[in-house]
Amino acid sequence: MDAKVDFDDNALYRHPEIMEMEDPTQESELEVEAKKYNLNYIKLDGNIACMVNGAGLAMATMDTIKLAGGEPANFLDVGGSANAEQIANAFKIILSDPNVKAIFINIFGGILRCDRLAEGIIKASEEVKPHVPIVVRMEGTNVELGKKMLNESGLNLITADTMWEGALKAVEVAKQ
Amino acid sequence: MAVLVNKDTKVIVQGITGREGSFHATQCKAYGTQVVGGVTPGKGGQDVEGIPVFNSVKEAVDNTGADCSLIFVPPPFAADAIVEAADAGVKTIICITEGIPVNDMIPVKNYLKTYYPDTVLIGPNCPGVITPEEAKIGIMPGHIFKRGKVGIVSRSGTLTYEAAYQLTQRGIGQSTAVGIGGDPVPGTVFADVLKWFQDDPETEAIVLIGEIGGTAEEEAAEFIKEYVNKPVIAYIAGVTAPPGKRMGHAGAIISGGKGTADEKYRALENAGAITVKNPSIIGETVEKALKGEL
Repeated sequence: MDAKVDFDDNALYRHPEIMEMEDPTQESELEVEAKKYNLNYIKLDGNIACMVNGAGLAMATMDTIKLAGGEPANFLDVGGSANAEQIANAFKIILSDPNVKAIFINIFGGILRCDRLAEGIIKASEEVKPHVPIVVRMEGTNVELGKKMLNESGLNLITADTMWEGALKAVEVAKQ
Repeated sequence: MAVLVNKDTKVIVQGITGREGSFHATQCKAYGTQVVGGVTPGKGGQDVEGIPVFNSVKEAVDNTGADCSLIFVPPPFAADAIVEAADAGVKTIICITEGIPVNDMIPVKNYLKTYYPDTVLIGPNCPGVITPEEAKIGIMPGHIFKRGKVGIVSRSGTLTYEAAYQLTQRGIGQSTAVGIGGDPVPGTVFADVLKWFQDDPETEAIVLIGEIGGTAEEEAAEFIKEYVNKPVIAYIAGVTAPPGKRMGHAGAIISGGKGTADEKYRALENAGAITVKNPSIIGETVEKALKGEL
């Protein structure tokens, strides 16, 4: 006989007595840390970290990394309204995983504009100073301006036009 | 044609005075959608960028003749907002709100089924619905969509955008894109939307984007086998998702070994759908399917 009980996170606010039972020592340290920043992060065993907006696209990015011959290091959904600070926090979380050999940023800018995202990446990189190569694929609103900002930033960023191209490049640089 | 919403759809926005509500109400209106009013209890008489605000959905419907509601109400009150819209006679309710407790949604679903079987609820936790060049009722970026003959139905917002963008780049437009949302208890499921697209003369092919968790894709496969003869191009996200972990969406979890992407792919392939394992070639695959090359 085996039984598992799952609590609905969305209803926890109604049950502080259940919230008190939460034991963070039973969870991955990085996942606990990510929760503090309101980031949806799940640690995996691979070496290519990814940072994506939207849960579906984040899963699709992991799957694409695998198809391209790599292994994803995490699931990370930064949400639809990520700003520079959120992106810096996300960088800190994924870089604390010692297995990470490359970062693949895959953003479909809808409401979140690509120039804002580029600004976030540039600011975050200055602050966090990532020690691994970063591949960026972004698409959507103001993409040309965003790409221009990244190219002129002097940061060591590799850009890609599609999710597939980005995944291939990330797998390649992770091997070096 | 297209499905569910068009240029004649009159929309009210519940929660219009909130940050998200006011931003997206304005964006939808700018796209050309008839946004005729908004609702925030206690703020009746005000306006948001020229859109009149009412105290209740009933008052808004009586004054504007709205037949559709777009909901941005915070999670603790969103279930009540859905019921209020249905009671006021709104026929199409689109709920964007993420984070509604499952225990709130089950009674809402039963209530609608019992008292308003013809009312359609899209979502919650979804990007909304767009019929390109007619009406955008949701939070999607309008400019990546183009009018045409491919219907999109998806559990994921950003993957809807990804698919629409790939199609638009190839010059292939969309009839309607419906985001059914990532929650475990959605108002509308794949099979409902597949029926609309099959019955819509403008739609010639259907893109179905699923993800791990639940059995909605398996039920869609059963429905395709029975009812759909238009090409269905299907992608399922989460092949690499570990079991027992909730992948962002409340409904995206493999539990007790059930709800895996592999199972869903198998069911859809058996039903005759064209499956795509690489999300970057959705557009390319639709193009081939439309040319009869698949």
